[in-house]
Amino acid sequence: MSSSTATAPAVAVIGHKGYIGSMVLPIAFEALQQKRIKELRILSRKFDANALKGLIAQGATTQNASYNNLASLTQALTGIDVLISTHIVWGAVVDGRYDGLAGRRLEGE
Amino acid sequence: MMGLQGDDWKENKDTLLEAAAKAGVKVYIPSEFGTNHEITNYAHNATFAPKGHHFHEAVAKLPKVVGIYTSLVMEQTFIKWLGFDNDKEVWEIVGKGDVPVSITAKKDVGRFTVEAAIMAFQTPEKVPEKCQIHTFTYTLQQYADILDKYSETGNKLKLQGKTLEEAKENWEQIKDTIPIGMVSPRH
Repeated sequence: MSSSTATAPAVAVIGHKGYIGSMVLPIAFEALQQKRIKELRILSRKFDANALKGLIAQGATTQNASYNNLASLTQALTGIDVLISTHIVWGAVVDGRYDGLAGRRLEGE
Repeated sequence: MMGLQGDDWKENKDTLLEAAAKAGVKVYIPSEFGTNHEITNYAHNATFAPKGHHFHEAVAKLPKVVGIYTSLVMEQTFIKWLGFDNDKEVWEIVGKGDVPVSITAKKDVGRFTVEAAIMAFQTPEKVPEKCQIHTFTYTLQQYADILDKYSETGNKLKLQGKTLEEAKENWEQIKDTIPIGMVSPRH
């Protein structure tokens, strides 16, 4: 199968501001420009105004979503083929210190 | 920044999977991006078990799931908090440094993730459910030899071996002093 626009997936990214998100996003934008991704949708609970402008300027679409709300999330993911989540689900920083065995989860966005 | 504790993470992640399934998402890449602890002694650790649980829940609910696992992030491997004191040109390591150790560069994490995302959509049968990515695999002696070529002082790095127990004790002593972001994503 070729990687033409017709077969290019719509990709959503959750956690774009995080450690892994910052590694993934530049490459995802490259793929978007090359039309190997037909849409790059960034999901976040809340967007910083400047960050929002930057994402849109690079061609991304943005979608607010509450991660604990099924209807909100379902709507935000409608039309998406591939979902990349870079949200941490292990470890935690508690009061500015690493708590690696806490079994807690941070939500950065 | 909002911290979720206890079972909150589970509720949150279950909602994500349910929404992805309802919305018709075809490929899901969960937030693994680290060691595959299902093959280590830490599979049931309170920190890592949630990731494994979430992965299996995703496989059950979505058409295609790709877990991407890395080794130590290259840019944050040779740091003093892990025993690599480059200012003093001394590496305190476990053993003799003759065992291969893999590291993964940040750029490779991004590149592989995006390529896997596209490929898993276009030809899902060609992408394994779990992918392990490494940029380099050398012994610590070999890494030291490589870095010695770029030494500004002309000195060679000195490797000092210690036992695993000593290393664990040292970690317990210093872990609370490590700045956020220096060892793990939030560390």
